[in-house]
Amino acid sequence: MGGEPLMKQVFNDIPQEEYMLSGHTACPGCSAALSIRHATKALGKETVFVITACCFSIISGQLPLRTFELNVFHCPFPSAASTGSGLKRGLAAMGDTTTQVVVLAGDGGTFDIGLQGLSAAAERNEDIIFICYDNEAYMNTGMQRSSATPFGSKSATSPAPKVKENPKKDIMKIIEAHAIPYAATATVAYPKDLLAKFQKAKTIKGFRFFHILCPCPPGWGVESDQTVELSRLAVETGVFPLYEVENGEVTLNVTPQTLRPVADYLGSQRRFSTLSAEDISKIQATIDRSWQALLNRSNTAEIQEG
Amino acid sequence: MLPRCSETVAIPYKIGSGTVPVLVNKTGDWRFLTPSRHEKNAPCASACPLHSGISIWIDRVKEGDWQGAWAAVSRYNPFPAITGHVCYHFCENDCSRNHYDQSIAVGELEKEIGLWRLRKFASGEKLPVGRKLPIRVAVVGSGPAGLACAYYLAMLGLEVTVLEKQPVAGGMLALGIPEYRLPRNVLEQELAVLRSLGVVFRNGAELGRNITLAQLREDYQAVFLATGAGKEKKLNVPGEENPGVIGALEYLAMVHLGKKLPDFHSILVVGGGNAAVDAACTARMNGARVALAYRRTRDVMPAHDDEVRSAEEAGVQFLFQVQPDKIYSKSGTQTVVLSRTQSSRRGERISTVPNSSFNLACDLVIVATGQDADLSIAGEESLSFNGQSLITNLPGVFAGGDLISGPATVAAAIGAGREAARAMAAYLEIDQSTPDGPIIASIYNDSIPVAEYETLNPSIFPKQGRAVSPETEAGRCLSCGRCNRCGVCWVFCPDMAVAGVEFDINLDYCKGCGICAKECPGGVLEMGVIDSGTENHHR
Repeated sequence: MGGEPLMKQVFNDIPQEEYMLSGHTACPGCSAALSIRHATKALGKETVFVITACCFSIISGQLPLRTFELNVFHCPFPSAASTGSGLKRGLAAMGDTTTQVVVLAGDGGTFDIGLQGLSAAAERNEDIIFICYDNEAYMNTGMQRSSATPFGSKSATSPAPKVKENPKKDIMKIIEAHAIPYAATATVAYPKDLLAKFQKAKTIKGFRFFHILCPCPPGWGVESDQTVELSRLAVETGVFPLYEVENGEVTLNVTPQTLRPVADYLGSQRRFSTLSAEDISKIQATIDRSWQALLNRSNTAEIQEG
Repeated sequence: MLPRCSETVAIPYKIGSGTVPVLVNKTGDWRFLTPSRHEKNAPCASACPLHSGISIWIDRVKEGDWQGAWAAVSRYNPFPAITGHVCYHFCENDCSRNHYDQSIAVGELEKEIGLWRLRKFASGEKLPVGRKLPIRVAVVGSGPAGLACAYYLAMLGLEVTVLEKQPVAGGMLALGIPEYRLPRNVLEQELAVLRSLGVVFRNGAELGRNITLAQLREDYQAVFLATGAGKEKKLNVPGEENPGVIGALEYLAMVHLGKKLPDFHSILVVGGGNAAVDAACTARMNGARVALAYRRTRDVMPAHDDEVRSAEEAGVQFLFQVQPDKIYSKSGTQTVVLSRTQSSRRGERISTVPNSSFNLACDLVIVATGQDADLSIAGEESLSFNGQSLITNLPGVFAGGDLISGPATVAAAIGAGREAARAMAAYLEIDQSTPDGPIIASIYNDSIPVAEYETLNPSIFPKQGRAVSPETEAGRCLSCGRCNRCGVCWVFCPDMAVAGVEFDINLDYCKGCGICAKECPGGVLEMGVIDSGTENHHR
């Protein structure tokens, strides 16, 4: 905050500037707030957010409050990508070609309600960044299932024992099918990786897509201090691999030599409390298959971890 | 009228942003648990016989500040070059990083600092002594305990005289520890540093023989007794008095003093401690065939495992579960009668296997079955110790090191010398603070819990082995139990509530999520129910 002395530069690759203010109304331990905080550090002050109906409708501050030291435009649920496209073109018409238009949508506004607009904007290769922060259900309205909710998860609309029977929709594959210049997954457990991806995306022209997994303490049934740990476990178990797709080229950013068993990730979440051992081995088999497929597709691995 | 798209408008756009910063929401009153810093003892410092503030001086090395590193380390240990060579580095065994990749090379870093300081000294840069006080103190014994005490007393400005019965100074550092473990030029340089501080060495002065404690108490205002544990235990077997049977310390001293010894072709060492292994290795290096007989098994040998391994590599033959019953001596050849034992645990009574005895012939038998303190030094005076502190029943007389503890490590002896200097300074009512900080570090508080290993984030702390450059290696230190302002709490705060030079937590906005405490690599931050420090807006 202004006026206070800057801290000693400890993480040279993490900028000290903050574009989000304390006092926002995200739940304690919200990994979405933390992810977007780091994203804004990379995006810088020449950024306009387009926020559809999602948790960030609240986190960004109800009028007259503001959380972002950036411009924010709220839009209806299905039209996130369309509004972003229009805003970018409008800015260009006014002679502003440098401002980044960043669309912020939850998994509902991306996987379900916003999918049509997203697909259309991606197909037109609009020059915007689309961030999907994925907390795997409609958390803001009471944890109803979305098509991003994983198999076996409880939710308000898939309560135990009728937990969700269908697998999570693979949004990255849908996005890849649009042949856009840049798409990446990220979690805040790897903040340097997240920042680097946003810094790279800033330099690319065209439609750029981010899929950020954001563990949600109330929605997932975990303690508020577990969100960073779960983000890390999601990567280490292969549930949510970190990779980027540049013009069809897949690069895995974190490649553990051996994946941790998925039970380590599922075990501490109350939304998975009804899973049987059989279900878990089924999930494990799915992950092993998709991880192998991803390894086969990727060309290089930048970070090697044991 | 609204402008058309093609017209450029000069006014800056303002879309959708609120006018009031959300800072007016004091979200701190959502909090149930509050993070706060609880400094703990580091596992390394807890394991260190000196309780050295390892993470403090490693922090300085990390920044390439060798002067600062020396200033920090010397408050705990004035001879890092010596301990860097000879210490078994208990710190590294307990290092938290062992749970993750590999321990920090504390020993090597310590050695680097020590050698840096010795190079500075060689180039003419002396240690600054702030003042000179007309107070005379005596240190009896120039082993590591005596030398450390002499260093601190000299830095405090006292006139220090070190009395040593041997012709060379250094005690076990000079006469006991083999040269391959401690190069003698390191010891020589450390002694030169002490002389430059005004410490006077008097060799050939033996307490109880040519000087008395009563006389010392008259001549000096305080006396530190650090005569070590040099009285070697006997085997208590017949034939032990033969000239072909000598103690390990006696043998090592003769070798290190450069005395001419007859050519021994075969040597039997009896014992399983470090002295036994040192004697065996030294004998081996002098060309003899060496066997070492220990009455229990290898895994319970009191000698440090590294030493046993290097002895094995040097070709020392080990005989386990045997003990000598009798020694015959005839025309320069010793015949030792050994029996098999059944003992495999330390502390267990030795029981021999009946009818298992066998003979072993050698030129020399070296006995290394332990040492005791020689308490005859007190002479006429009645001297008694208190196992807990360094004071004795005689005012102004302090005692420490192996003399009190029995045979221990160089690091423990240096620690005793440091504590003795602290006690003597208090007794003489000398203030040990200087403008650059205290000369002696504050007392280690063992009532504080020891920090435990916290799960590390590989993206912030990459898994890696030891680094070659000291600065990089020092950067691997997690600073367990002590906040070194690493900033991980700042990185992972979703509420931007960690800020400022000191990474203070802003309780006005901290929602108490606990991520900072969970991610803190040193285990310093803890969540607890404490007074929030913020006004409750709901009241």
